[in-house]
Amino acid sequence: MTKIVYLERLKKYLAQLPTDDIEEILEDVNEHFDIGISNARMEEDISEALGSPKEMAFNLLSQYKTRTRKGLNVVEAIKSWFAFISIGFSNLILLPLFVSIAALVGSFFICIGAFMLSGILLVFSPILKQVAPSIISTGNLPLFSLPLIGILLIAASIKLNKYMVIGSQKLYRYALKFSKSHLFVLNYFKKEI
Amino acid sequence: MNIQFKKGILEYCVLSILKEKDCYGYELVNDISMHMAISEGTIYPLLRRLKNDHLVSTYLQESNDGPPRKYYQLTQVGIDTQEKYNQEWMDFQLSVNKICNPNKGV
Repeated sequence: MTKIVYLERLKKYLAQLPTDDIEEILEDVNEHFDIGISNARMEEDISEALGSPKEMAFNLLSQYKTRTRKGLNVVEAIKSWFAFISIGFSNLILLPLFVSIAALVGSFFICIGAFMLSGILLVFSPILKQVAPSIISTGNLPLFSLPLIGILLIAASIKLNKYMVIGSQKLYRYALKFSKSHLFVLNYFKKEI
Repeated sequence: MNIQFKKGILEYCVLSILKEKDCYGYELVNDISMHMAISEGTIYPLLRRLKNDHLVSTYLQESNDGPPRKYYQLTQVGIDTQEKYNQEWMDFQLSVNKICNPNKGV
């Protein structure tokens, strides 16, 4: 790579730095090439020994990143506190809400499971009556009506289950949005800081 | 030599060379690469950082051949830092030797 190409590439990779800093770096590297050339070195050899412009730019850029993170002035500190508080607030109010709704949804699912189970038992009640007559008491109802009630229960619980699944998916999506809003707040303030 | 070793130690080397004499970039690169296989491009970013942290300052000086050169010079902070590194390096070296070559006796 010739001096011109090397400097152009380095400049391109450093574009995000302050202009003064870019100028100074380019001057340094330019001087390095010039002295090398005056010592009868080939431009190709000099650029080879320097390593790629990308590498050098990466080295430089990483320094700037750590430096900006080190310095935190009053405004930035206040901003970071604001981010912390706003997330804390939403956790305080919204998180318990989500947890209780989720617990409610969970208990509904358990109820539906119980309905389903009792429906299945009812369907098989005539057989159970044969096996162990003492545990099945039909009351005033005729025995053949029990399986019918069982089938109705199963059908109802399947229907209910469908609604609950849809509902819990919605809840899940809201919970995701909620978490994303945290990330959004964090990212917003990170950019500022 | 392990690249992570070099990165950490390079700053110490640069400060130590500059403690002896003011150098222009090319000279510094040459001095170091004479003893160590480094990617020469790592020196310039390092010098930039040292300058931003006020460990070194620069000045221009005429040269016999060609345009004036930018010389790097240690500031008082730089001198202090070099001395601190000196001590740290000694201690570190001793500890490493004790761990890695316990039988040789240091």
